[in-house]
Amino acid sequence: MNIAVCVKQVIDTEAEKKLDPVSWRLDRNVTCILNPYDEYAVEEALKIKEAHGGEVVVVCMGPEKATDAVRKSLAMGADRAILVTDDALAGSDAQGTAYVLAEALKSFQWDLVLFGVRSTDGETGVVPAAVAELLGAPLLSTLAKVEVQGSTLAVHRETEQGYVACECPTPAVLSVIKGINEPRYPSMMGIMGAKKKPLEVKDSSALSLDQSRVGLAGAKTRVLSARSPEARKAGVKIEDDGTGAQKIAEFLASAKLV
Amino acid sequence: VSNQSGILVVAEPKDGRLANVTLESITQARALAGAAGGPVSVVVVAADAGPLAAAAGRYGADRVYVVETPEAATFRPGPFVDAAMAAVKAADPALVLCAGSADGRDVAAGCAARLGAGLLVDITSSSKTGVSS
Repeated sequence: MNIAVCVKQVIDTEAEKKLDPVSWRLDRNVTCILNPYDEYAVEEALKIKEAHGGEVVVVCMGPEKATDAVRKSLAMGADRAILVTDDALAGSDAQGTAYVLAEALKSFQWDLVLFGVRSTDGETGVVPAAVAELLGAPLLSTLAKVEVQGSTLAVHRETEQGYVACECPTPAVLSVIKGINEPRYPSMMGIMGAKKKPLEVKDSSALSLDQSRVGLAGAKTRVLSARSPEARKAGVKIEDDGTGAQKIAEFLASAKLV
Repeated sequence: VSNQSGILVVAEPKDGRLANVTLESITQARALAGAAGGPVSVVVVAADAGPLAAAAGRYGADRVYVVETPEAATFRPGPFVDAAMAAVKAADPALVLCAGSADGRDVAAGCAARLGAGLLVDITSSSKTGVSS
């Protein structure tokens, strides 16, 4: 079972997120990490490989510094990686990103493509589905469990509506959620070994990308403005002098909650 | 520039009814359609679509497209995208609204990829400005 895992480098969850006031693009000149949701996808791929054999290939689109996120995936145990990096790709929206990843995935044989459910920066959660559509492969999203039974997958989806058990033939595109497994920490040997693992860097021309579909210019969406959410206001404090219950009832009534 | 002015809402079934987000989407579509002058269509994909289609009408749909099949009892992205795309072909809308749920995201992304259209998610308000081309 050969598995491709698509990963993204995101800014550190702890770092302050700033948007460029002209392009509204995220300022990535801060500490960056492997998207935490993608760690679950890498771990799941490694678990499947350990049980059933095959190769785990990491696919990433991003700036050159995204090499760090790719190396972390390799340090966890992935076999090789493809990093698609090109200035022309900067500013791609979800659709553009899905197109680039789909083209990169067409360059080698796989049985499964795994994604984390979403990135912690863009937070759109639509790239897995768009990639599946562009590849013409079945999609199973928001998975809490994946079992490989020969060339068939038995999975559990978790959605707002509840749990769904599904079966699906391979090849397929999957997105996995937090909690599906416990991502391993890269060992010292893993970190050292990752430096020697094959990392193929590709640009737009290597993938013969249609330039009209990528980058800020190819994006079908435009950010017109952005603002921080309003700071939370302090609540009203009422000391209970015997009329507390009355005041709570009045508050609920004024908010039309009772 | 397209002359399309209609809006298509892809209904999300939930426990044999329309999910609240679909009712909200129809209301939002009505407000936008009021500005654009186009019809609001709803596509219902369900095992028992009758009650959902009727509800869509009550909440303000001008047209309802129905895909009724026992297979739609459980959501699967492929068939739902196919059904939504059939409705897109019939209604030729300027805008397609899907639920911002796990299932709705899959449908929205599938349709947008197939159409080569722009895709916006987690929308909390919308207005027609005439800025986009």
